[in-house]
Amino acid sequence: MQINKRGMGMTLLIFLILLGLAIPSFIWTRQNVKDLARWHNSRLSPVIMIPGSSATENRFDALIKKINSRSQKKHSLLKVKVYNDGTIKYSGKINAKDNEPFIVVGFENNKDGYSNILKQAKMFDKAFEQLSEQYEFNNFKAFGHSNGGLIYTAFLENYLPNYDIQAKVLMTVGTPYNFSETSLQRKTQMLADFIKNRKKLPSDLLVYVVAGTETYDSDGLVPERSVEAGKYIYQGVVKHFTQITVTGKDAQHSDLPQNDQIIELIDRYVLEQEQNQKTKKLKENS
Amino acid sequence: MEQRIIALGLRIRKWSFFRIIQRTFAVLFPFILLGSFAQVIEFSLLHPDGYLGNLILIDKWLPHYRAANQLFGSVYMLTAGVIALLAAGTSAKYTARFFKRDEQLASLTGFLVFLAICYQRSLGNSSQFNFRLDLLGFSGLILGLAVGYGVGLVFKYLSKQANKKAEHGQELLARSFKSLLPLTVALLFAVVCNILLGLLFKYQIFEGAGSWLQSQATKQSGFWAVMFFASITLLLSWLGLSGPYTNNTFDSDQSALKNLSYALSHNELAKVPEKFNANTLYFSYGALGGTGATLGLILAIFLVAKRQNTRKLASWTVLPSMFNTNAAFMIGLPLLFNPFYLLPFLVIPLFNMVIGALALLSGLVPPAVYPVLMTTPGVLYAFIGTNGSWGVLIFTFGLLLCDILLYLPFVRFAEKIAGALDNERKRAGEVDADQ
Repeated sequence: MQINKRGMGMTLLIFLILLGLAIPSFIWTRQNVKDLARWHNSRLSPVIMIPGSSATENRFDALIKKINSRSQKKHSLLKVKVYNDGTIKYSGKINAKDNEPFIVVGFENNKDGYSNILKQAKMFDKAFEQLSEQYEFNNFKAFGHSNGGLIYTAFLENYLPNYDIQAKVLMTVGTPYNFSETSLQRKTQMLADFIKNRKKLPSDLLVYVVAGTETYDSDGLVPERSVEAGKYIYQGVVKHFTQITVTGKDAQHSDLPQNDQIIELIDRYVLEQEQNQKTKKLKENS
Repeated sequence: MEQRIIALGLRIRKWSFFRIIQRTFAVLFPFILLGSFAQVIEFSLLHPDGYLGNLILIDKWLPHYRAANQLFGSVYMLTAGVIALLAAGTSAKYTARFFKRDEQLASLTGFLVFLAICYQRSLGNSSQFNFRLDLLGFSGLILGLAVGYGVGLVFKYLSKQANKKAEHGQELLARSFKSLLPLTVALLFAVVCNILLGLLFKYQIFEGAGSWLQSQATKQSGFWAVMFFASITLLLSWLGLSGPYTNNTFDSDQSALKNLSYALSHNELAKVPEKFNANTLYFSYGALGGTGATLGLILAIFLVAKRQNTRKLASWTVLPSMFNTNAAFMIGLPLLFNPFYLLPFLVIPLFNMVIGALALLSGLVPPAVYPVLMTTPGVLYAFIGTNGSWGVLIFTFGLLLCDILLYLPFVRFAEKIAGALDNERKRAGEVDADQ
């Protein structure tokens, strides 16, 4: 068999090119694996909260103060405000050792209405992108009060699939999934859209929909029927769907975030349980 | 023995269907070559997950890089993306010529019949013309060739021999009238095919079979399962179809994700839970230099081939093949549907995987578990997947050398068959204008 000399040269050239590519490939993969490992091993799991319409990023201050006063674990608080021109401003900070900080995202445009909800979901996506790049968390917990729950629903359906980030829990409080409609027969455009896209919701999500009632069918602003409509979006596609109705003191729509019952629910269902204490207790009991 | 293989090869080469395929491929080659270069630029250089683009951080400094990506995407769509359509027209033309029928009309009919088969009645928007894109592209190639061949046969049986000299007006018209019957029959046949295909698509027969295979391939791991799915992929690739491992399965493969998660938490590769899966065996070693380890074949051609055309083909296709885009090479040689190359095309990748599995088992090389960019050269896949283990790099280059050596005898035989064909033609004094 005769070996072609030019062919030999060509083969050597290809080998050299491939070997040459090995060096930048090496640099790339080292950096990539380092980033991946940092992200994968990140223990940070923030609770990201969205207030309702006409509220600001300060809306949950009282709620977080109450939660912090109840437990030994002190959660830090980062407030984010997204302006209409796209700038994002931060106040407060996440403490270095805090694995479960609260992040509250407010908007300059905090008006009511479906078109505004969609705009706010898009703005929230911008803030979420920055936060995920800055803090490199691989999972988070979602909390929305009133229309904040609507923004979250739009975000979970349309934007979250673009991220490699797991939403573990979603809790919405007094969220009007069917706006002010009292009957499920009349679906608003928004509810119809949410139902249409429900297949895009994460299948490993735990959802708690909390309604407050002052009377038998309303929290004074949002009809219970409208909160209940959330089941048409979530039930059956997410891992678990739970509906809870809270009555009694502080069950009026705007008081709900300070309601002791709801804080109890957040503590139990949204925040991480302190594993060590729990097992210790179990051991003591047995 | 050698003589008998050459005689067998000669017989295959003279078979009408194969001769028609070969001529069709020769016509398609420039289109698919252009498409391959566009594909490499689109997916390797200008894609956010592309290999070359990430190495040189192209999105950081190239303005309008998304627009450029779309531009090359369009070039790809208009060449390789409609290759089955071109194949239908061209193979109808050559079949008609082979049987001495009106090739011009047969070619146009083949074109139309294939479009008619791919036509999709659109549901809402009726102002648009809709075709099944998946059938027009590379994966429809086998259908296009069969349709063209069928149309040629219809012309053979339903029309008379064409008189080549008839080129002025009246006679041309008379000739066209004679083709009315085969044209009608072929189009009617196309409409029936369209309805049948429509039913198959409606009940999702193809999608069902394809996704079942795909889901099995991403669920199963272990040595034998991977060998099985790799064989199916190779066999289907030889037919121009896509198999369970044609596209990288990393993102959907449970065992690959399990490995990645383990490696990221423990920062070591030796004890990952799934040592043998599609990623550690097939993509690391089986697809060394593209599906069928064709980079080895191209380099073997460089080393020993004497025929100028073959050498030229190798030089034109080596660049896209380095980035696993070997469609142009497979059509140019041709390797597709070529029984002569089926054996090495199947066996050499499987050989690589067995050697790779032995090396993994003995702990000579760590398994590749980390993610790899799109169009990463096959030779560097395992190197990157192990986070840059230099031992793996040496091992894969050794395997590439083995592949070249294994492909050498096949290149030599192919040359001998081609030489024998030339001699025979010279002896017979056959002067064929379209050779």
